[in-house]
Amino acid sequence: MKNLILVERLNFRYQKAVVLEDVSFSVDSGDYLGIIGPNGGGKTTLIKLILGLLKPDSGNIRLFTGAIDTNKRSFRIGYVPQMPSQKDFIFPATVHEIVKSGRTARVGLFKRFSRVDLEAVDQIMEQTGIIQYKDRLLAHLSGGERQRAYIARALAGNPDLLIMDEPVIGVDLAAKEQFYGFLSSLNQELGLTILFITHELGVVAKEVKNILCLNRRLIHHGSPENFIKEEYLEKLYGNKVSSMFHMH
Amino acid sequence: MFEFVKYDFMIRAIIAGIVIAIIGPMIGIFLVVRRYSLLADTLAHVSLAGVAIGLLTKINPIITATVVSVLSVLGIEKLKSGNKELGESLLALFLWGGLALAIIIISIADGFNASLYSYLFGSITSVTRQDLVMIIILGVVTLFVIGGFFKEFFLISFDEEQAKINGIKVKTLNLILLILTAVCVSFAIRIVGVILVGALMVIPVISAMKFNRNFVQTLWISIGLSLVSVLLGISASYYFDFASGGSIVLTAILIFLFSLGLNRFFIKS
Repeated sequence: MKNLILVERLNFRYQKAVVLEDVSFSVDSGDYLGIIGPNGGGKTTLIKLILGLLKPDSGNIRLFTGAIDTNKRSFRIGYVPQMPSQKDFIFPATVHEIVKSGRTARVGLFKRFSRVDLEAVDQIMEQTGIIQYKDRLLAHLSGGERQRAYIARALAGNPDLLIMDEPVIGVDLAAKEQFYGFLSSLNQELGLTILFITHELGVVAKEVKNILCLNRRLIHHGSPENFIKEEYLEKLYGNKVSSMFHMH
Repeated sequence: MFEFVKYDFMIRAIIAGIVIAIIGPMIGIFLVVRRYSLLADTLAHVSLAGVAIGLLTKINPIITATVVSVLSVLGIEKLKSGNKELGESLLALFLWGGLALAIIIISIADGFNASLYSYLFGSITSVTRQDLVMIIILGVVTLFVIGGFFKEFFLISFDEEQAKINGIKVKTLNLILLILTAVCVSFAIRIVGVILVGALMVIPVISAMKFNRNFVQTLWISIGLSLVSVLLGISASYYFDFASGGSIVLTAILIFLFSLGLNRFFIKS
């Protein structure tokens, strides 16, 4: 199994505050990794470093066994950002247009979307259950529908790696379960490597293959079972949350 | 009714007007969706300083306006990256700076009041043959650039972070769009005038957005509305001797109000 992501001795400061300190880990191809940790623990920063949106102060990040190179990694990563609030959706575009934009880099400069591209877009909208909203404007979707449109966009370029920042915020419970079912089928059937940040401790234990727990430093990286056994939760969140976690 | 086509200046004005009406919203839509509409207005006011320099040095004022406008947009971009907290105030700074510089040059020169009036408010009689050639070249370049990079501009406008992650050259493409905006604003001054040139890039787009259509349809509708505004505005200018900028923009605003009404009573979400 090859390393899809290799992070070595990563350090990052925001102004004077240390956000990440000496973080090293690797993610294998086919992994399904939940990133947890307290607020301000550096989870989103880590993701932005991996995506190349931020530059580390020191240390290395290698993706697909090469240093981050914006030209080469292009469409191999699908990214679902944290959802902005409702007021930011004045953009006059339909679900179809947004999902299609996920294939922009794959199509290449000066080329139009081919029939193959449009079929792939339709297929991903089908799989994510938003095909019936394809001609609806983004402004006219509910939170959950919009979320699925963003996930469809991330998947539209057929990425090898899917990275998500709290993907189920604002989604109701039933939709959440459906969503996690969909994720694990992507992981198991298509072999898609998935990384996501979550605050839902109960979910990570049930769903993911590995947990990465971050509080400025790397607290734990390994299976959920070991994470529970080693009682990191108490150290991070206190007894109350820890006992809730054990109930699941 | 259409006897004005007998006059060469009217034919030049109409062709220039049509070209500007088409490319204005093509660039404007990307400014509007990024909430950067004020940029067009800022560049127009900066262009006035360029116009004044042109009048003073007897170089074609549209050329000097374009040079000043392009330099300003590069300056704005440079300053923006290091001073994010300034936001739109940075644009206002350039707007006032351009206007102040223009006023100083005008007061030094003291004597081109009449021609300055046409640059401020637009004049259909002022489009020269050289202007027309430049405007047509700009039109062709704009069609190629926006057409060629359309899906990239769409992605960058909707989600710049995503575009970066996808390895799209966001900085370069942004710069191309900004320079195109600067050139378009300067060239459109002949027809619409400095004070109102931003309106032609913005109003048809916000009117079109009221039709609740997808992005591409919104663009087509805005081009249509812009063409109607410019042609009706130029006709009104010919028949009633209005300054063309005023009649074009008032027509565009009437269309906007009509679109609002349409949206409220007929267009379902």
